[in-house]
Amino acid sequence: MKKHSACKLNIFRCLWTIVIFSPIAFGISSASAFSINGSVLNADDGSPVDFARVTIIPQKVHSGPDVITVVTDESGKYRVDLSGFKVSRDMRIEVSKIGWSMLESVNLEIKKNGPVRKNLFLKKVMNVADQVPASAWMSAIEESKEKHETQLHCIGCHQFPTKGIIEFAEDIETTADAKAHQHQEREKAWKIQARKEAWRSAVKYMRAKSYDIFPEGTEIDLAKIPWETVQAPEYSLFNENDEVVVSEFLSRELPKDFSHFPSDLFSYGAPVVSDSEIIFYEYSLPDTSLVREAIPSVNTHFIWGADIQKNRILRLNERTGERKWFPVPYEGSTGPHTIVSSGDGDAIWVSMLESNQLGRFDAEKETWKLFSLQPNDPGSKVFGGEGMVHDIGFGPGYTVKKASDGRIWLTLIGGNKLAALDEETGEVEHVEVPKPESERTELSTALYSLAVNKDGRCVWWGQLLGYYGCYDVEKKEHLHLTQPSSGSGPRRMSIDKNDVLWVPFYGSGQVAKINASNGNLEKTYDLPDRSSAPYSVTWDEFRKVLWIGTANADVIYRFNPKTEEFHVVPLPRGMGYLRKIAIDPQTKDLVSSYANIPTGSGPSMVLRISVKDKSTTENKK
Amino acid sequence: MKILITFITLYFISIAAYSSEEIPKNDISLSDVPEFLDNARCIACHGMEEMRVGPPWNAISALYSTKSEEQSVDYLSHKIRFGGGGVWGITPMIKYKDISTQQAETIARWILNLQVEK
Repeated sequence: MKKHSACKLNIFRCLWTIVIFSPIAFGISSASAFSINGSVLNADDGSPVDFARVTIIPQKVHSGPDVITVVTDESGKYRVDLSGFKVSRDMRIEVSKIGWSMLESVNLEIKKNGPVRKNLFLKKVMNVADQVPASAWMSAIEESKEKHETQLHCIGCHQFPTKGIIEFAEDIETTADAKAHQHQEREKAWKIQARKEAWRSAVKYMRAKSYDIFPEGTEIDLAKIPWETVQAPEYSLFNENDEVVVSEFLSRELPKDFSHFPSDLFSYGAPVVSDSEIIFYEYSLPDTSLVREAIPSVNTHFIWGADIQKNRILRLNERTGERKWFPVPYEGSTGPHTIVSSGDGDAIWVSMLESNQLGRFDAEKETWKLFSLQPNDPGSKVFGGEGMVHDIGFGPGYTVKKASDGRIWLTLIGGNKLAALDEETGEVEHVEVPKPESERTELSTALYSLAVNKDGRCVWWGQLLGYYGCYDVEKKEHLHLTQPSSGSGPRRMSIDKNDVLWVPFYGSGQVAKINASNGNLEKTYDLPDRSSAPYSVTWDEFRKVLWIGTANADVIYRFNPKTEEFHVVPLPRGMGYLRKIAIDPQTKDLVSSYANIPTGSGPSMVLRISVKDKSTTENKK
Repeated sequence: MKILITFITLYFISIAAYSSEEIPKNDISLSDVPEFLDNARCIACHGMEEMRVGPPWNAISALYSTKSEEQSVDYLSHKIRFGGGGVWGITPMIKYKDISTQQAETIARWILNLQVEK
């Protein structure tokens, strides 16, 4: 009432305010204005195209996601609801599906409120070499230990093969041809040797390129280090054996011609999810940011992300679109990496790779508290010390879960140790973890993943190329040590409410089901694409399924343990390099981010995926 | 040991990868070239004297400085931008199309000058 009276008193001022701030004045729709629907049709015969991705890109976004993508149903129909978002009325529409291409891009200007109908057309293509994910070239190769080792090494840093690698592989062939001998047998032998030599050179190149992973200003700078040190196997990502295995495998097995990939040979290996309506909401971030992990807030409409490049965390307000950044209050680089919410949502816990710290961010007061994981050397600013935290112990639901001793457990990746933090006192206890006997001892012992079991007594941990096992916090001993094959590479695990431990094998493209109570390996499942590089698994308690994020296939897998069936959710764009997936306890949506590796090569975006069971949706209508 | 621990860790974390690789867009002069070669990570394959993945700059200079300068600058700058194999063994050079023609020509001149300066 007061507001109304004020307007009466100063009608000109009120009118001026309306003109200035009215979204209509700028061609921006006010919230709940319009939706777009229609069909995606085969341009040749008009038949519907199912499971095509329809992507809406408004030219201006004032609130909500920057890009929305929906998937057509079995009858080719789609519907994009833009209500609730303030976006411009002019937008671009793109349609994609492997094996199909758009005849022309569609620009649409919406002139009225309410539903707008727009049919879209695709034409079949026979060659999908430019459309398939990187994994498609690898999955055509027969499974072998050498293949898994190669995938483990190469996809550790980037998708494989990327466009640059494909160009290199093709150049090897043309060079080999130019230098070929006249004699057929000698020519064949020479080419084999030449390919090996070229791929060995590529490994050497990657040894040098690895120095680029260090932050700006680092002392570990390629330009300052002798070449012999750069190439020394003991300081390298590839030891001598790796160099041989990778170069011989690639010279022998990698395709020689990447110009053609017949569309009828491409398959996701499992059916696309069709029993749920999938909507992707993508939020753009600066290209220079590296938000590799994102989580939903458990009690608000925020998404939180850790920006490892810029030493800060992100709070994305999904309603207003506001991106607010909170720098870590520390002199020097911190490297915020893993981000997990507390169970009540009051705190956001962040591991700091470069400063050997764990951060607790108070979501309401917007204040930081930093815990040193090197309590004996609290003033240390040594980069790459043994207090480098990687994972934070969590339970079902991907929120921090304290063990039965009341402490937060962490993996210290630099020192092959577990750490237990008393949140109240800041006291830290380090626990050594056994090292497997291996030629690659140092690499094998890098401690990575962590999950806490149902009763909080068993802290399950995994090494990158070594053991996985459980530390019993009450008995104070390691139990159930298991060493998977060297090409498997356990990554980010998850425990469900039935105490089943799920472990993805990055190199071999598998998921292991382990009884978290007794450590028994119950079954190992091959993924639909063994070259997909499953980086993480997330147990979905709401749907009783496992979601598997892949780094190399631009898809998410849904696995139903009851039926043992896989389904596929293709991502709306390539070079996704997906990592951890979290589930929003309020909306049941999946939340993640594209890892953007190498920086700038992939999209820099936060991703929310709405997964609505169709029967539920129809019932609501 | 510190370098090893850091490598082990960062390999799998792949933090902030390739951030230092950004190629400046501005034109460069001959005196800018050494720093440019560092920043563009040409040094991952080439050194001044030693054989790395590819041939050392001194050797390239020795080979091409006997030929017509105009032709050598053209050839080498093209090789820098578009890569390919043929002269120094089987390993082809990768493409650097983000390096501009002006930058590539200046680098080529700098390489050829190495022989002249001797």
